[in-house]
Amino acid sequence: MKNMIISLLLLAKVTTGVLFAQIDFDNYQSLISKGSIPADFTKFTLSKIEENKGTNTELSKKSEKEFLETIHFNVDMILQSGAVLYGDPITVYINDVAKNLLKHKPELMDKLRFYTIKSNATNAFCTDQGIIFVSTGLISQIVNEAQLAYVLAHEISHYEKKHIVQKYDYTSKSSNRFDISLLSKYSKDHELEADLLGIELYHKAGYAKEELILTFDVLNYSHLPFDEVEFSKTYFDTDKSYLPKEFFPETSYPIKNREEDDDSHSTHPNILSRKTNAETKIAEIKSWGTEVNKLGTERFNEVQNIARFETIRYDVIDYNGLEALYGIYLLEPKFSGSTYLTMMKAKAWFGILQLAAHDMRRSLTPGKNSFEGEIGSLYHVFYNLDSKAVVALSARSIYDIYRKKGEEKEMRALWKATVRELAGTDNFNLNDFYDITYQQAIDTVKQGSDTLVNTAENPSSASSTTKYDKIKDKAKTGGKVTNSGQFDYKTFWKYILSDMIIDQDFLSAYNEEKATFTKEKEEQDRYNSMSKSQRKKYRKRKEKEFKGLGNNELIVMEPIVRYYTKNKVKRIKSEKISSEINEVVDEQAKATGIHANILSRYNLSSIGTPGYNEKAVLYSYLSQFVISEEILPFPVDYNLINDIRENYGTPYVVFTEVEHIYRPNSLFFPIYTTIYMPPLGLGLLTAAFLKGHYSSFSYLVIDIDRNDVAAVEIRQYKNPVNKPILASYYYNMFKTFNPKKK
Amino acid sequence: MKFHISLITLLLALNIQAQNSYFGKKNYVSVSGSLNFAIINSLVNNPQYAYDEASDLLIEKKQWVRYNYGIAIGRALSDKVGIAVELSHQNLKIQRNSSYSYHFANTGETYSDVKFERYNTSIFSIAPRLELYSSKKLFPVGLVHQFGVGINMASLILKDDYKAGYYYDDGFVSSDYQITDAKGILKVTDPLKATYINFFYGLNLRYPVSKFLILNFGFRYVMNLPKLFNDFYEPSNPYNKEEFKLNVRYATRLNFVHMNIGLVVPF
Repeated sequence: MKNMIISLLLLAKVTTGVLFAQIDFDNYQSLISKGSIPADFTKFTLSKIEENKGTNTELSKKSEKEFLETIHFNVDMILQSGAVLYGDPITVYINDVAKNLLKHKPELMDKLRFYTIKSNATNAFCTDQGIIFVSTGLISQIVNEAQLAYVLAHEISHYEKKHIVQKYDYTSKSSNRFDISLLSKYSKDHELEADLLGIELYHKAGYAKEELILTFDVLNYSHLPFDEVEFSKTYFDTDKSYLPKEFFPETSYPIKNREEDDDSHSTHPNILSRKTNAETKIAEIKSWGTEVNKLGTERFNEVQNIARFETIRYDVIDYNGLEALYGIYLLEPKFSGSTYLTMMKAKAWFGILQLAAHDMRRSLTPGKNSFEGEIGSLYHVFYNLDSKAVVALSARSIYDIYRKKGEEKEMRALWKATVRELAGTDNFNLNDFYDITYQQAIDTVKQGSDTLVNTAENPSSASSTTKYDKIKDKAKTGGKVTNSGQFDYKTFWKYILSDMIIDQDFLSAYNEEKATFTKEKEEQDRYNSMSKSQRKKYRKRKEKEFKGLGNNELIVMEPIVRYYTKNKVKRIKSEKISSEINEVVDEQAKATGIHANILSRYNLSSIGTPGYNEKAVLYSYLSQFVISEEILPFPVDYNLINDIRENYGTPYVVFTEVEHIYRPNSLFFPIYTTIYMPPLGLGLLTAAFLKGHYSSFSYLVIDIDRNDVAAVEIRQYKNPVNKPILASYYYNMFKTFNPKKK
Repeated sequence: MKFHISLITLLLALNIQAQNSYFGKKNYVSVSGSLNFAIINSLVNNPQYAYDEASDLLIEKKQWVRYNYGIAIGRALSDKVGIAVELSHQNLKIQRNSSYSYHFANTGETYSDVKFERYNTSIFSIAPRLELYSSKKLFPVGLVHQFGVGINMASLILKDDYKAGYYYDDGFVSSDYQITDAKGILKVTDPLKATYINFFYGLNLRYPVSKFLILNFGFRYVMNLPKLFNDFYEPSNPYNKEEFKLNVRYATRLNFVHMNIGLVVPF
């Protein structure tokens, strides 16, 4: 009973939105969903389609079927991606803002659902089902509640006017389908209409008109980070480390104004058109409210900070190390005690190190022509550093954090991973480094030390104006870089690890990892020199040596299923296969002596929100593996991942994928042959019908403890898929994991 | 049969690690039936004759569709290769050559346009076959190519009332067409048996309906080499093994497409 009361109290807190004052940014943990799972997540796609049948009277029966399939499968894919949040402080805040906007239209509010989506895209979008998604990227960019209110008002107007179904109807008509200009105009008309209707809603809610036009600046500059502060040239400097100022650009990169971009092929009008359209409407309305943060400035700031913390995480997942560093640079002055930011910084550096270690340094920055604003300086630096310098600088930064935060389990694991990367790359060689600092080196060759003077502005002393004011004042700022004379400043990186390379703990860990890599490399070389048959034997031997995972508890994620017919995904068939897999997984696991802890939408009702969050965390972890086959990412949510590991008593997470395509050969030749040479043709005709099925079953097992892939296999078949075959796929997979069970 | 048994014993004794397969099964037994469309044979071959009691005449008949049935036992050799032995049986109608005029030495009489009623023949086959699977590690499911050699043992099914039709020719006048018991004018060596070999290639799709049952369907080309076309020959009396063998092979040589369906039980 006591627990129930506590739960109810917590729920009440969430729903009344008074949770805002409770976020501890020093010990921040990534956002997770809270409360009970909304029906949007638990209801199956096919049921949703069935329920909505006949509600779109403007469409023909066939078009409606296609439309419902498209919207429900696409939206459910987003809902099940793990990126969508419910019951969290941001979602609660968005709901509160929406309630205020729709206080005069409660019946409309009842139809709508608002969710936060973890994404750095500055975006909000509405679906025909009445779901409005708002990205954390958008929340991180806006500067007050009024701006959010206008974005929501715009999206609500799309829903009210049924723009999505109208656009679908218009697009599906063959006469319009191939005319991009027509389509673009149609879509832009909807946008302008939603802008105008949104203004009415915004006005009725009492928000200030000044903030409305500024919302368009958010969109105009959404490609830039959430603030514009000059990047300090001394940011990388410590008593042991120094980055020569020659690497920085002389002045900041200009910011391009995209207000008047050509929009003839775009679905959205350019910002200038939208601003002009909005200004006319604003002028028509006489009395305006003055509200900017109706729910309180403090609450908005907290929500904005949460969103900004989340953008850092997302950048780390996406291997956007420099964007993450710049975001941390912006937040650090305000949250200097935040362990989250410190750890994210270490992880961002680790990502940078990995890219440089694997000669993927170019992925760190966009093309030179895309450098813009203050972050452009950071891009400029890394664009001009070579891989060895980037590896050294990253190692330096992680080492510094490790020395401060070495007591944290996560930091120790990250340091171990760092040492492993250093040992495994040709871009790090102990012999390259000196045990003196850069300053000592300059002194030694008697070079001037004036180059070490830095005049860059400290970010903490930046004015309190918004990003958009700063962009407009850009011309007034800039910096000067001096020359370090004869000393080759480009070798700076050889002096920044003077203490690390004599650290005995580091050296012994490094040498141990190096020995492992050397052994692996020798084996790889041996394998490369083998003949085809020798390689086959080698692989067979390795297969035999694999004695299973050694742990019969597994976390099994919902499979990804794609069923194609002639390159087009058959969504309903895919859904049915997915459902059949759900029916067989548990049974086959048991048959092989394995206990499968299934995290899937099919058992969301039983695993509840904790299970949903675990699923989301594990999907994020999986997405980190996408960067490259050679790179083993460090889990961005290390602590949450380890909680899951403890909860289920297993480090193994199994991801599976089933694909099937039916691509029959042409029947022309078999039919032709059947007419003229019946016996031969009959065989060919039968063969033509039997062939054409291509399916694949893939699995990937991630070992949380080793932060590595424990097993991976892609099996390809030429047969149709049905329930018994799917069962066999899973049986064989589980049997591989536990071969001892008879 | 001894050969057959020893081959199965060999198969089961093979201790080869089949990596992965359908639910880890390495063996299967199957029962199957096949239909054999005698399109070309019926078009180009001499017609067959059947006795029609109502008219008391031999009338032309064609055996358009033949069928056989069998069982097989198979085993995975690797994750993509298997071997199997099948034992099958089919009932075949065969037709002796007829000739316009024939003098039967044993009776001393001359008959013209002699036609014999077609004979029922039972053929048992033992066929070892190699199986190549398109899908790796799913034995015995999926698309399978089969290559095999059939050892066929054909036996004439004797019955007392085989009929023959003829005109009796006394040198001046031919009689009306007459029906008589075939044995009256033709002796048959008992038992009449023949053994011959054929080769086959088959393509089958095995589609599981449950963990323990797989549906099999596909086709097979069966080639009876080397005789593809009719040789002219004089019917012998008594009906001997060589002629019987020829009759059987002619009946099967060109209708080489078999459509088959069956059930496979993996174990």
